[in-house]
Amino acid sequence: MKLKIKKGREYQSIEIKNEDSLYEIIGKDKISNFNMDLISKNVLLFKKNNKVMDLTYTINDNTVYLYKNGKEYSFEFLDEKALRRLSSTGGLNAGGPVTIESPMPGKIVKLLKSVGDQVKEGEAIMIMEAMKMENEMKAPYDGVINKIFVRENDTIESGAKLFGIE
Amino acid sequence: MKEIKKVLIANRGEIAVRVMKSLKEMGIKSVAVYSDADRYSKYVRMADEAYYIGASPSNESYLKMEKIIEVAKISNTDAIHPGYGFLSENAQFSERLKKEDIIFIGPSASSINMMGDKITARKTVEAYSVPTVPGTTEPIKDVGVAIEVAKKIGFPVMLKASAGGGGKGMRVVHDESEFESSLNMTQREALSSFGDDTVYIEKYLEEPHHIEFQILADKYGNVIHLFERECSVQRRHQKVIEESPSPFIDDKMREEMGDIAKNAALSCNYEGAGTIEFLVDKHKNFYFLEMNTRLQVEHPITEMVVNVDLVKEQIKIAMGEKLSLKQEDIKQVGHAIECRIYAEDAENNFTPSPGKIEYLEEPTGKGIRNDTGVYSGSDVPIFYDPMISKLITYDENRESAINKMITALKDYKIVGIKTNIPLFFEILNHDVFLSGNYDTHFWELYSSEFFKEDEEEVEQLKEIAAAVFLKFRKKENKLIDSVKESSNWKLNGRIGG
Repeated sequence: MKLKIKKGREYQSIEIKNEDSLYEIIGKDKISNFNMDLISKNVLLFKKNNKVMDLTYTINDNTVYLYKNGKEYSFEFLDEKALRRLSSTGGLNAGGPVTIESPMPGKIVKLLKSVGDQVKEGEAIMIMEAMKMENEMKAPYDGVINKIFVRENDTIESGAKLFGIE
Repeated sequence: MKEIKKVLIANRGEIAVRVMKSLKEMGIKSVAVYSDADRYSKYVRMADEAYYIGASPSNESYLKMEKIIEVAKISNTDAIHPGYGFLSENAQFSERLKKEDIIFIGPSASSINMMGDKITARKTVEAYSVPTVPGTTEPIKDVGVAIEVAKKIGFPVMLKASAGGGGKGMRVVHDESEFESSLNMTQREALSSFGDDTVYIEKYLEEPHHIEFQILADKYGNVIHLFERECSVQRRHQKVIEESPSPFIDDKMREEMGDIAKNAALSCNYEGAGTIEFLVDKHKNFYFLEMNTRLQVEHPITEMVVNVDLVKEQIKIAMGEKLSLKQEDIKQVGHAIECRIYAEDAENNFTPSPGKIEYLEEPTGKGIRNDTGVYSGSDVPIFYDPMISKLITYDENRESAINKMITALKDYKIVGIKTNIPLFFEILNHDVFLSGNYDTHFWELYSSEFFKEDEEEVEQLKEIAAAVFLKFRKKENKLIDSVKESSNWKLNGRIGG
């Protein structure tokens, strides 16, 4: 089966074969084999050449979250069906404008950038206060701010649109 | 002496759980209060009685003094334990309870007042020969005057909110040019966090260590110290890891600081459990920083090395008992470390990561203690400090306590939200931390080295994720197939009949 995996703003192809708990991943220049069992909703057992990796996981829509040593790794997939649906609506186009939403409820303390500003990845766009701490909302990519949806002192909900970048 | 048979905990989360455990061991009933967000919290499940006190924001629930007092009366509560944060250092609350004839498990209003305002605190302890950091004792009113003062003390200086605490409302200013903007920011934060924008200036010490002493004091002027906690690993002045004993100070200094800590407690007629925070510079000069007139988040590491239950001692003191422990009874044995586990994304500027804990496995074993406020299936609400638990390990020496912590962190599985656990592997494996020779600059010096991505590992995890995705899809499809099969069978059955 072929899957598409999201990497940054693009999708990468991955081919995978499975029989019982054996998996084979066919990459561009290598083939990888391992054992994997989903023991419960959140626990899996992974073995490669008899070496064990201790992992827990969860899955939400098309995103798989793996946890190793307390760290969360997320991987977003598309199967063939979803891929057809997306490409017909043009959703796979990379480089278009993106709207950044607030990851949490809070209050906008200060706007640091305005529409039209050229920003670098990781640059702070605004300061938001949440959980009694001031947090910087940063640009996810290099680009130009094309819209700012909030004003200073606005109280916002989680998921509220903050700014657009392209 | 007044007996305590029932205690209301005016707090939530892990500290409410922690307090209830000691209450249960003492045969005392516990009363929980909760907001909307905490309806199903672990501490509510543990309590003997639980009362709803209001909406989720803390100013509509956990900070509502009158509501809490009303519940105390309805429930026939003898005493209130404030935990830390919320009303724990509120002098007015202590005073009100006294009038209502409800015991406040903590110090008197006057002790809280003396120590709560940093400027008053300095004056109070100085009268008892406690050394303090050079700085202003008057609040900043005029920027120009303040800059002159800062120049006289010498840059870098520290700006501090008078009503601040827990690392909030503090800022270092390295030179004159950034003074005014830093002052504005500190005042703004102070006003929004504490409702008071009073700020003062202090000398910034070289390679300082944050070392604090635990004290216990009864109503009869008996004070003991229970040794120190090294809290120099801090991010934005918030403690990240604490350990006891401190790897930096020697026994002679320990004794000297312990005596001075006791003096600081005596200076404000303290009663209960309290903490004297010191800054120790690289030349081993030490200065009183502030006193925390409550139980500290990091109190468990002290409990581990001196083998005393501080909550039980607080309750005995509140009942009017004399301290049964003498200074010579208190011995610092072994080594303890604490990691504060937060629901936050350590690799993304420590953004809070509230949400549902889908699955939880906690580390266990000899010398492993996890003071937790959550369970598998519970929520970490957005309204409060996003601490999930405090993980503490104890062993005979520092090295094995650290090794035990690394193993315990690996065994700690939290699925559904991001936590700062990855951060601790970075710190606990860092050479400077391992050497024990670290100060409060540890974070700014070394945190940029953290979280180097292992590309090979991410590649492997990507393959595993693909396998998980595939397996899941197959399961879903099977489900659809089996439904189809059963309806076909029914259809065929009907045709056949």
